Amino acid sequence: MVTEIFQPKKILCVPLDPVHDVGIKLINAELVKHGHTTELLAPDLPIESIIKKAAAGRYDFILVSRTLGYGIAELLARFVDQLDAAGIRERTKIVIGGKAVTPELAAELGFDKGFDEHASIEHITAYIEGREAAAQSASIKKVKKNIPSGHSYTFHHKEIEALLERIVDKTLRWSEGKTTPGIRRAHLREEILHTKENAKHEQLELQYHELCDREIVEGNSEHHFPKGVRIVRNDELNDLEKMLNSHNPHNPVTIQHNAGQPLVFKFLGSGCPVMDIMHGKICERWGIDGFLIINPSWEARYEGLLEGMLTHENDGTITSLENIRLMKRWLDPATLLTVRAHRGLNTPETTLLAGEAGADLTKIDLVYGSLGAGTDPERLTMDGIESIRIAGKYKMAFDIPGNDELSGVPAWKTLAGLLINVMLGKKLGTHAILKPLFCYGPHIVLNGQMKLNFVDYNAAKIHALKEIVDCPIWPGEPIAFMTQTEDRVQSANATSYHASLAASLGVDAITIASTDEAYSRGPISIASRIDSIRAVTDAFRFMGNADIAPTPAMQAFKNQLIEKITETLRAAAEAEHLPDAINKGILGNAEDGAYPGKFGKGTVTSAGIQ
Amino acid sequence: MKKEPQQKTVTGIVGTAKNTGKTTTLNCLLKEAERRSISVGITGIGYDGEEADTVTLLPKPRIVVHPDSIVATSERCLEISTAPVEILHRTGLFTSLGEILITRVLRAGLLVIAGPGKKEELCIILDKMKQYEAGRIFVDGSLNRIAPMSAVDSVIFTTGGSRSTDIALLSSEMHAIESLFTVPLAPAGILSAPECVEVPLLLEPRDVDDLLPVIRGDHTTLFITKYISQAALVRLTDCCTNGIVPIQKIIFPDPFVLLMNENIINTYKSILKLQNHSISVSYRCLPKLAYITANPFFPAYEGNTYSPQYLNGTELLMQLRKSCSTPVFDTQETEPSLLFNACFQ
Repeated sequence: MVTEIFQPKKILCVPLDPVHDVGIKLINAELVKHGHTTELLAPDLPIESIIKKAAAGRYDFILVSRTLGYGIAELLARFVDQLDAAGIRERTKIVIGGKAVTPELAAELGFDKGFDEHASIEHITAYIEGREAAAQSASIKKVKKNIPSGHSYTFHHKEIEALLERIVDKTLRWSEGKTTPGIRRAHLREEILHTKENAKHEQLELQYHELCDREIVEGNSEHHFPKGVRIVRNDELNDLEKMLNSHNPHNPVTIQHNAGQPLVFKFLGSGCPVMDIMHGKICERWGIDGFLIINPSWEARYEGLLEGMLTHENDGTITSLENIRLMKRWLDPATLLTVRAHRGLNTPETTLLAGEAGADLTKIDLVYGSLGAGTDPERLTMDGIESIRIAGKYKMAFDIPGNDELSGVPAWKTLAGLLINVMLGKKLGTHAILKPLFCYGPHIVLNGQMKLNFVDYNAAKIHALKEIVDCPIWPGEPIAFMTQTEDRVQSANATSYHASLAASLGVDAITIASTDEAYSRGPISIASRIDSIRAVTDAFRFMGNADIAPTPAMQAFKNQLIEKITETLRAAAEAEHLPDAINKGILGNAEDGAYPGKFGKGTVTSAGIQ
Repeated sequence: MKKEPQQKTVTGIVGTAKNTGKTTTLNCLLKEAERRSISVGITGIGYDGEEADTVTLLPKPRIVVHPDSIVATSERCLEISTAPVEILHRTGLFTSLGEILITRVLRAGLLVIAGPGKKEELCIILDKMKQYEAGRIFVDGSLNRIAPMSAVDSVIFTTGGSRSTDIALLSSEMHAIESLFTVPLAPAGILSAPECVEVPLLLEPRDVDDLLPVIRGDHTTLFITKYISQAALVRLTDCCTNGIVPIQKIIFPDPFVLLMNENIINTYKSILKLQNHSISVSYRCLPKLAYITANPFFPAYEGNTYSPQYLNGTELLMQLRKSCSTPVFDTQETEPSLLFNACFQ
């Protein structure tokens, strides 16, 4: 191993800006600490005096700081020319740093190197010391995170564990020997995807379509799609490819200030996979860790899925295999991708497609899918169990969104539902991720748990879950739901406060909305996406390793939640199985604003009956 | 491709400001070279060929290159260019966009160019491109940068609304530039004569004052080897024209040293004053001013964005032609063959 001898450099620091010389002062101080010999000039010296100094000093580097403004590019270019003419460039590297400076602009102006305001002092020092490449690659290389890793899935609350085992065992026993059109289609789809023989392929496609609604058959065989759906054109794909091959993210950043802060996810579901990818790439530049692909509501209500690369001129992106693959192809390999599967009649097949396309996670909640998303509890329980099995086969964890709370279901019933899913995952060998809401839900509004602050009750949910089980926690969906308004600044603030709380509570991930998510009246804008990412980035920087201290009320809320979760699970354990518990309103009833769904009712059959 | 005899082959395109038509002029020349099957070399002293201006963000013309052209550009520019190239040589010279590579264009397409930003490196790159048999070489300018252009044989100056929206001022400035190119080359042997005193840099007026005691009575020639600032030139002019020093001849390295001062008209006035007092002015190196191009476009700054605006093109051309004896062209309206021939006459 060769040890390089450290060569201190002689550096002239030049604040060309009339006033702002703080940045270069900091850089100067750091370079001195590193053992370099530096000279810091006063701001706003005449150019001739600077050149004279530079010519006399035989410096290795001249660092110039200047914020770009009207006519400044010309001034800087002339300065470089004068240094060149004076013969200084033969021995000295000239570096520019300041707001809006890009490598391209540095090249245009003739500087050897350019740093913008996002460049760290370490970056600049590394460049001076000739170890730039290592510092740069370390700063932009993202590593894909495994959310369940580090969690044992051990239940600390033994009564709750026993109750969950009873509920899940009964439910699994009930499901034995039964099937649904959704499960059969998933099996057929798997065969189709792995059958190379044409005749067999056609036969399987026919069998698949026999289990589909007419709209899906017409879409797949005749390209008569539901309103607003069409095939993505080749020119659109070519333009996307051209764009993404020619534009790399400039100075990508990370959201987290330290490794312990939560991963940050956003939704993708503009309807158009090409637009989703463009939004995704821009969010990646701003440090987003992952996306949840959200499908159209109608897709969940048909039996069967459309095939192909499809765009949809309305909310929700069609989760066809081709669309998910397209997103996987273009998003950064470190970006986590979750595909929503649990809303509707295609849950097992969507999970299968997510797995085949290389997605990292899927989204399944048997309770919310039945109560808040309109699917018959028996059907969704059957389909959900199969989906959890499929997720395990593809080594995908599944996240469990507790969005039934938004219907008015009390938090403890929602959390009880989430825990049932965790136990199902445990029994079926698949990792679950708890997604309690950080929201101002209807039940909380009516009962005043957040009358004094938004901290105590949200914190109580997390502490309650942590006391019950060691399982990853990912507040969603999105955080700050029902606290945001159409004012983008307010919305960004609300998101950042909730993100701060999440970081303080040590959760694994959060989902954040765009600042116009609920009020865009159409596709959300990219600027609004960046709003909330930037707000959270600043919140994480602000919080660092500090904590938010809840009031004593949090403890009382937490104890109450654990007590009521236990009560709810006791009642559920008395039911015949999970669908029975849901139908009886144990996990949310009409008074709460939750009604068992109707889609797919009566479609659970004995596995022998095809 | 025809091989051109080794002669004055390197033409630089210099702008008085951004967006004065350097790329448009370059594209015309490249297209004509392609029509004549002449092998060309292309490089630049800054960054050009991008879709949008790095400062105004307004769309820009792209550089269109043709097969077999030899191009020297930075490695990262190849990632965003559409013309496929073969890498002929890695120069070991770097810009902020990576190592400068000598390449050969395989198929026509768009190319982004970021070449050497300093004079010394431009000389190395030009030599290398000649080794790869680039018959005619074009050096794309950058912004208002000119220092590295002392390495070329002839220059095209581009000016227009982007430099100033005052047509009278543009005409006066172009006249001053043209006049600075009419200053002759220094006679052979003068630099080694005993009456010649050399000084590398004159930056502040007091540098001129500091020089006065050094100049003896028999020192009648002053050779400024590197650079003189505008303020120092004014002081030197006063000293020479008031008889404070016995200097009768002043030699500058090249016209670019004088042109890089902010107010070219005032620089020209100083040179004129020296000449009017029978003090001879000359250069050590003098590229030819081939012609001038005029572009009425300018980016207007409104609120916080730029929008495209135009001067009266006919008036601009007429006034520039009235002020300058060098040919003035509107690139968009001129036959490419005429523009090409005028480079190498």
